[in-house]
Amino acid sequence: MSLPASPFAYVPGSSPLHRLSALPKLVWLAAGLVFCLVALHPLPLLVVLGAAWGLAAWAGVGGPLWRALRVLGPLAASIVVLQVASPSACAGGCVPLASIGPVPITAEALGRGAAFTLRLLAMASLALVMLVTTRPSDLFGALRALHVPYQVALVLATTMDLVPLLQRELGLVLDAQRARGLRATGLGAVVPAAVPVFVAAFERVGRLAISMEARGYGSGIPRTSYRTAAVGGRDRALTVLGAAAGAVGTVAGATMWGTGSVPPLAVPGWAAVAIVVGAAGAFCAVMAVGLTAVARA
Amino acid sequence: MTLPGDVVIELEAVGFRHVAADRPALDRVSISIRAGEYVGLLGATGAGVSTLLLSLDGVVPQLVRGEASGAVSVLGRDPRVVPVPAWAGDIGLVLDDPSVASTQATVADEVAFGLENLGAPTATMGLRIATALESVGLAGFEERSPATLSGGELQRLAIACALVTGPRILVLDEPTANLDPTGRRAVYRVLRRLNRAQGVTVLVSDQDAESIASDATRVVALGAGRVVADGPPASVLGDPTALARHGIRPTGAASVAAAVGVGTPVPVTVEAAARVLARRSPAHRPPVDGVAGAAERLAELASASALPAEAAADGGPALVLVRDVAFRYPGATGQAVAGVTLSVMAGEVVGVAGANGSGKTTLGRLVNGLLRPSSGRISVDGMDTASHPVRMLAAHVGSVFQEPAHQLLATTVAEELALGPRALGVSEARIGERVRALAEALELDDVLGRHPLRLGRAERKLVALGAVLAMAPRVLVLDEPTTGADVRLAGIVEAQVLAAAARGCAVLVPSHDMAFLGRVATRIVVMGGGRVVADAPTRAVFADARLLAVAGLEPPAAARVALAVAPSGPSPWPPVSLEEAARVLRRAGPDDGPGGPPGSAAAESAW
Ligand SMILES: Nc1ncnc2c1ncn2[C@@H]1O[C@H](COP(=O)(O)OP(=O)(O)OP(=O)(O)O)[C@@H](O)[C@H]1O
Ligand SMILES: [Mg+2]
Repeated sequence: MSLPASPFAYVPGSSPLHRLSALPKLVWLAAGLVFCLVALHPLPLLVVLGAAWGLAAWAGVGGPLWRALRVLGPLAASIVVLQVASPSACAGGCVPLASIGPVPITAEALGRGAAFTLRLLAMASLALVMLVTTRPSDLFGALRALHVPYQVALVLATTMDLVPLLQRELGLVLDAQRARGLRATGLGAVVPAAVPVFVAAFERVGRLAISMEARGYGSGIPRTSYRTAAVGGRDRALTVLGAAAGAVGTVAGATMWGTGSVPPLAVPGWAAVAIVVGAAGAFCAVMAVGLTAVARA
Repeated sequence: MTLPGDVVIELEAVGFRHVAADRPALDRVSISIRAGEYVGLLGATGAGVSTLLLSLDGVVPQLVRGEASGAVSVLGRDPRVVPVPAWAGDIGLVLDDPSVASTQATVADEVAFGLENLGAPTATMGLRIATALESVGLAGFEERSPATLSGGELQRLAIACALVTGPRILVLDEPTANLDPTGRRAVYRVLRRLNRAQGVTVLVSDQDAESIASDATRVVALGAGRVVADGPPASVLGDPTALARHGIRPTGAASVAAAVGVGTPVPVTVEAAARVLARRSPAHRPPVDGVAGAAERLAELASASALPAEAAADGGPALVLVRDVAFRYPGATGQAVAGVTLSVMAGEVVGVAGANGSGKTTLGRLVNGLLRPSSGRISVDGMDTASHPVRMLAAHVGSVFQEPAHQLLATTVAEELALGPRALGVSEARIGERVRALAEALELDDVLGRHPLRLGRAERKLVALGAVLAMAPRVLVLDEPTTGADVRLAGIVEAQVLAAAARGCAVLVPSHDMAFLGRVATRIVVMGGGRVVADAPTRAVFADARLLAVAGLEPPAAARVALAVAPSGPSPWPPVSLEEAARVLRRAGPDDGPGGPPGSAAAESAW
């Protein structure tokens, strides 16, 4: 309706990545996420980020991925600020680049900030590529195949199903508010709208659950998939390969970059100040908008 | 394996009370249904029909909670114990809210969903999905997102979802409330074929009993949670007075026949009524061979254009002016409306009719400003919708959406009614007055404290209407205001629409309910493929068979009965409401005796 499509929702498509069954995708995603967690170094993280974007472009979901990451931008900025402001950030010898008032900006803090930011972006990109190319109901089957407990799988898959529904619900409520003479532009409207949205969504989810269960959702019968061929030899091979890659990557990542020795980021003093001030500014702007919205509600 | 004639559904003294409800929805209901039966269920809003239908695959009481008593057995199993998803292979369920058929990203995936859950082989799915979509007229919609379908298209999708798995029992709760007359016939044709050719047991409820009258093998009527009638359609529907006692709308044909004074059991289908009435009036004895014959005569009538055009509205100012407007939804391939020009004067009620997806709702949303025309201009109460925010237009144009669940924002009905006037800055004292007056006029007193979304579909719609009327706008856009409404609710809506027009409002009513349009609309704008194909007085539209056929419409039963009895009659012709039909047919019948109107409740409350 009046809102863009949800950034986290499935984007229909027919790319090989869309057609790949959810099980190998899930395993490769897990491998990638674990790797990002053990290898805290800009180099491998940049490689993962590049790979995620390459996959997104290949599957034709670059646009949705970009929109989703913009939401995460301010969060990434806050990481830089927190790293710089963190008092324990400088245990060994640090290279001060500049200072803002009493707070020194060191090359080490900047380096760590950059690495954490990259990690966040790499992990988010990987997960998003997987989410927007996998139908939530296929995800359910894959989670079950991985022996995730039935209830957990159902909740996870249903949650993914619900994200776009909630998004749409919000659009409809905003339309309804405007049609009734209520404010409905900007965050100031979205936040108060959230209350009826969630009450209404709660009611509607109940109805949706009825409709889905009456159509056999969660019948316990092994699910087949209309879009994705049944898990075949190729999928099984890819799944095993993904698990292996995850294991190898974890060990390699841990030995090569797992020491926590993040390279310092030595930039000229003015650039360091600019980075930190810019990040803080972005962070504050977002917080301010959010808080005014809450206050107005 | 069940054989034809085996009992498949057995209810024994079934009772159910919803959580927090003060009276039971079902009260000692005992019915047994055999394989291959086709059962039509009738009941006023709140009579318990939905609760009964939902009890068959365990939705009640497993997902809709409450206090259950008695015993239910379906295919030898207990739906209170066997989990809901385990019924999906045997029972296809269509809920009364079609918007729940949009859980997946595309139409094809939505239909596939049920097959996937039952583990159907992937290779067979394509054909099964195509067949199901074809049977509801949605071929070609496969890759659309359900979220972008029109109300009727969505309802067709919900039906396809229930058909695709090939269930032994089909349970459908008001499945055609949003469908155009052609679509409605098509759906009933499918049900009939499944029932007659494949022995599928069918249970279907509908506020419009016309199709049930001709197709069902049995009709069960509920009143306040109890079975009040159970038998062949001709006998149950043939007693409109008894039905009216329980707020159940008889078929249009039965109402006309009863009003003319035909004794009980009255004929219940248009064909039967026309046959009986033609016999009573020897002056006109055209060969009566059903609607097809009537259609031909309508065509002759239309080509002869012997219709006196009714005077246009009494020259009030045009409150709605739509000039050469086109609109395309973002991402859509074609235009949803194109080249639309129309006006609505103060005091005028203009119906908008047309097939599903013809652009009625889109037109309504353009008029209330929620959509901005891609080209052309719209002015409402003197304001250009393109240059005023919707929020400001809201004081001038009030809209009831096709899907009422989408516009209710408050947690109680009372708050819902107060929301709009508060946004306009009306004083709290005045708001209180308005809410009280509206609650009384709309008979919402009893539900003021309830959550609007927990009300039945038609009642939700009434609350939405109240919320809009509370803002006292000069222009009303009421999208399908009578879907799923029983006699009482439809009567309330009618009274409000006529009262608004009498106050000088301009009212635009996109609707499939021809009987309703016949009663309230001075003029009908017929849409087809996003364009206005006709804009004429209601009577002229109902008489134009060719136009109606092209647009996928048909006149209300009252007009069809009259036209089937005689191709032409005393002016005004054809009758557009039950009362008019009764009057002219009574006049036409010389052997009618002195018998004035039977004055039965049926005749008064019938449509
Ligand atoms: N959000 C949307 N995006 C794309 N197409 C849409 C959207 N909403 C409606 N349409 C399409 O526009 C056309 C007109 O839709 P509209 O809802 O106006 O029809 P309608 O006449 O009200 O139908 P119904 O009788 O089923 O309510 C249909 O073909 C529909 O599929
Ligand atoms: Mg519509």
